[in-house]
Amino acid sequence: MISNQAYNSHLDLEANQLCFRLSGQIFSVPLRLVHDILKLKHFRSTRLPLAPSHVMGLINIRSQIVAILNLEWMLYQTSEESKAIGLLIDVKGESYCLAVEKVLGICAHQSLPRQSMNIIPPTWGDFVDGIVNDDEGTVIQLSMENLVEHFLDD
Amino acid sequence: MDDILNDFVAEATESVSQLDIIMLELENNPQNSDKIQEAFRVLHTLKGTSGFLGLNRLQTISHAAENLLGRMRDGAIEAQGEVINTLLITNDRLKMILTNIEKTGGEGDSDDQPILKTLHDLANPPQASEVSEKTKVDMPSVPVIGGENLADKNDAKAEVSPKPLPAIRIHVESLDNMVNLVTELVLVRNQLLSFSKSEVTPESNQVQQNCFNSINHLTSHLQEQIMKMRLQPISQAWTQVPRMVRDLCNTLGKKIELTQIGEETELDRQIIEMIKDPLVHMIRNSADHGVELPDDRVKAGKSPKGLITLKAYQEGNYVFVEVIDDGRGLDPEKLKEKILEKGLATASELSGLSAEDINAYIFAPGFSTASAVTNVSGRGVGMDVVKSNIEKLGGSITIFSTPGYGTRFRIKIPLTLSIISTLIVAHGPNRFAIPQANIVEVMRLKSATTKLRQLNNKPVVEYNNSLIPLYSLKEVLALEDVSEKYLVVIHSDTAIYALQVAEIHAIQEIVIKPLNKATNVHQYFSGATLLGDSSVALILSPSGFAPKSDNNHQIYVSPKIDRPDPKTLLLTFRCNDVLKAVPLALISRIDLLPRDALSKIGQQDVVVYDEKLVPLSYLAHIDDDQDSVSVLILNHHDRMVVLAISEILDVVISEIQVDIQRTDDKTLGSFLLKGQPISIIDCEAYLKETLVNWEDHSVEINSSRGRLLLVEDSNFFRNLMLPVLKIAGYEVVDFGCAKDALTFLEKDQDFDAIISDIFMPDMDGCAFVQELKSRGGFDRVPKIALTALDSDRDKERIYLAGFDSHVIKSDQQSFLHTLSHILKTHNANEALNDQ
Repeated sequence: MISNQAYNSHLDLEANQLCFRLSGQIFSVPLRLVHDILKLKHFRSTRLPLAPSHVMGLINIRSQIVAILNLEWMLYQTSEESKAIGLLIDVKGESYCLAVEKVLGICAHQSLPRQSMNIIPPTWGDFVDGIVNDDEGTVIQLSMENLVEHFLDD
Repeated sequence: MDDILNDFVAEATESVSQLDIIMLELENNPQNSDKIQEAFRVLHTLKGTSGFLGLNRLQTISHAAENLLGRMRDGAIEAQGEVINTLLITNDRLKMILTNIEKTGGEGDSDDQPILKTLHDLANPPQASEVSEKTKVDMPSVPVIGGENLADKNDAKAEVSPKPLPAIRIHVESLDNMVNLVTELVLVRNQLLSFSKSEVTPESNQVQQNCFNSINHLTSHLQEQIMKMRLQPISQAWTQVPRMVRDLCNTLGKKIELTQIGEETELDRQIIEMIKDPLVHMIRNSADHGVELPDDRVKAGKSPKGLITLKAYQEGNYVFVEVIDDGRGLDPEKLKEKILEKGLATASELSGLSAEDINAYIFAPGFSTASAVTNVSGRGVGMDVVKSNIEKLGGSITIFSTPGYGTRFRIKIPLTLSIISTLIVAHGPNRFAIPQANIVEVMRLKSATTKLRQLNNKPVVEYNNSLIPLYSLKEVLALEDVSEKYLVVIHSDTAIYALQVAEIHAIQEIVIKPLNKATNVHQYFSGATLLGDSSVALILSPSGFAPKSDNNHQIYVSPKIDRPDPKTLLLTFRCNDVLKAVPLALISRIDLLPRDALSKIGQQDVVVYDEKLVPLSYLAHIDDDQDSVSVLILNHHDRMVVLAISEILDVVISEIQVDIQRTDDKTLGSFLLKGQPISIIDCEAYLKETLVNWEDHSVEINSSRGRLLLVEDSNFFRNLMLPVLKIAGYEVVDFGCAKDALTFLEKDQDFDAIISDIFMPDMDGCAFVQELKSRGGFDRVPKIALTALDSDRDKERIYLAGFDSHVIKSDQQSFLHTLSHILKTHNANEALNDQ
């Protein structure tokens, strides 16, 4: 686990990040984008025929139809395990549900020095805002705007 | 911007737009003192309110304009020429300041002195000659609609704050109705909450059921009220048109009279906003490219003044807007040259196309027929954008043009974007909604197997004497392997095709919701919706599945020829112990009413429905102790009739294969459904019985047979007549417009009689029959006019055009009698000729 020091609990939406685990890696997204954390088993997902691989389906969240994005596929082009948690995020005025394995907590990393980017795969370059070394491992800060935009253009 | 300022801007913008219209009327009739007084009042109010709000620029300009109008009112100055021009330009300035206030909260800081001086000088005639020169310098020479050219650069630099959400005015009565409905809804909710805490007993179950009925009823009313509140008159999209046409006339040196018909036609507010720009573009096109210069018009034997007509009307769930000009029309040869020049098609491809298909090329991107690009109607990038904007609304645009006589653009747009009626189909766990307006027919695949064919290795199905493309939902959408049992025949605006689906669930009104952009939504879906169990269903796009104009499909697709034939969706219901059915297309709503809503006035049974007294007809006995009553609502034009029944059973898809014909005057016939006899009710008989204006006639049912061609533009009337004719033993091929019928008749002339409505858009019944006459080959086919026109003059026109008989539309029995008589006489004559 990441140390409690990293999980600074003051809720500055601009500065704080929501950390989560996916494929053994810890990622984070800006907290200001996250509107809700959902247990996906409580939602009935509808398959979208002919949908691109990164779209797992559609769900009804408070009468809004939201696409579930398979973040594992978006990053690794593979998807092995079913995802238990959905992060309801808002990117450029649209809501999406980001499927992840486990939410770890809120952390404030923005003041830490940005690490060299050469440890991440080159294809992730545009999707990563920063990398932070924590006691428990490396946290990759994702740029959801760039990530969603990239797949929107595909 | 605070609420008061917001309200002021909305009201003032409306008033200033009204001033434009008043000024144009004054230009045509300078002596109209009422209009001068009206304009004076508008400016006086604007001056007062803006002064109160500290809006100095508005106050000063409206004060100066008011002074000028005061002088006009006193007869010192005449309302013409320079005066009207100056007042119109003043309006533009007022609009610009209002736009600034709306965007930034401030008036902007441009220099109003030139305009103020002109207004002042015009109000004081001794300095008029000097003013004239000044005006030419200070005022823009080509005023452009909405004052776009007048926008001051300094104002444009003002800091832009987020645009406020658009607002509409709502009648207090509508809000009161809403509040009442919500109050009732809250009461029902409280009732339900109290039951959730109490023990379940048979009595509480019944009361609970009543609560659900009430919720059902209240929700329908709320939906209706809210949708009504969103409807606004289409004239809101037209307010700028008279001014624009006037300015275009000045710029182009043309004379154009603008006629507006149907400005009270209502449309969803959002749609009105979205069609404004396409309409403006089309009218500019008509004025620029369509209407000729006065000299050219005189040479062509026309009046020097051209005519542009803007027309709107509602038909079913659609509103049609037409832009018609009496100009030069589209020249097919010139169009062909352009098409070839732009490389949009080859000469061989063009050789096989009809004039209508060639005209459709004006919607191609970058297409322009104007020999010189002008600053009025764009640069050839307009009509494709117009078309795509209209298609985004779920609408379509068609063009009709006669060289030398003019052009008519017809836009078809849905009444509302939010809620549509759909057929829910299922494939395994997936459910899809198909817009009901696009469904022609639903049939079992089993019954259609004999009609399935292969053409160019592609599946097609025989339908109404044509081969239409056949698609499998499973294959197109790569769905799981579930056997498909039904065929849904769908028409889009460009083609008709059949779609194989696994299951048919129900007809349901759905709320359209957009799909996420990141889903990379492809052509097959136009949105999504939430079903009753909160799951998501995708809305299939009728045009998404439609065959594209590749050569393979052009071989066998006959777009627009086959018309919808909605006879097969039947609503079944129980009336005491008797099973009955009615074509679903004839029912406008199904409802459950409280027993006490039913009463009697004199001999007439009535029901309180939608806060109105509506005639009621009992199809079933209703016990006094019943709490609620199931009803069907028939709606024809503004008339409504409620039919009380025992219970709604189902919606079934069935061919009407009538086994037993009419047994009484309110039954069209009976047939076996799942082994049980079921009678189809005669809606017209109930409408006649309950509505005073529907006369009763009793003539025996015709038993002769024949193949009929029916042309009728009213969907309702077609839906009413088709089962009647079929049950009477006729085979009917029906069309919604005469042009489609003519196209069909080119390949199939085998009809025993041709029946046509008279008053139809595009081509009326008389022109249709005259065209048949000129083509030849139909001299011996009886032609019957089925119309509401009954004056001697109308009849004379109808017979002169070539009709053999004339029958009044509302008289079904007389129609069947006449038809039988005509066919018997015709057959006898044919037999004599053969001998």
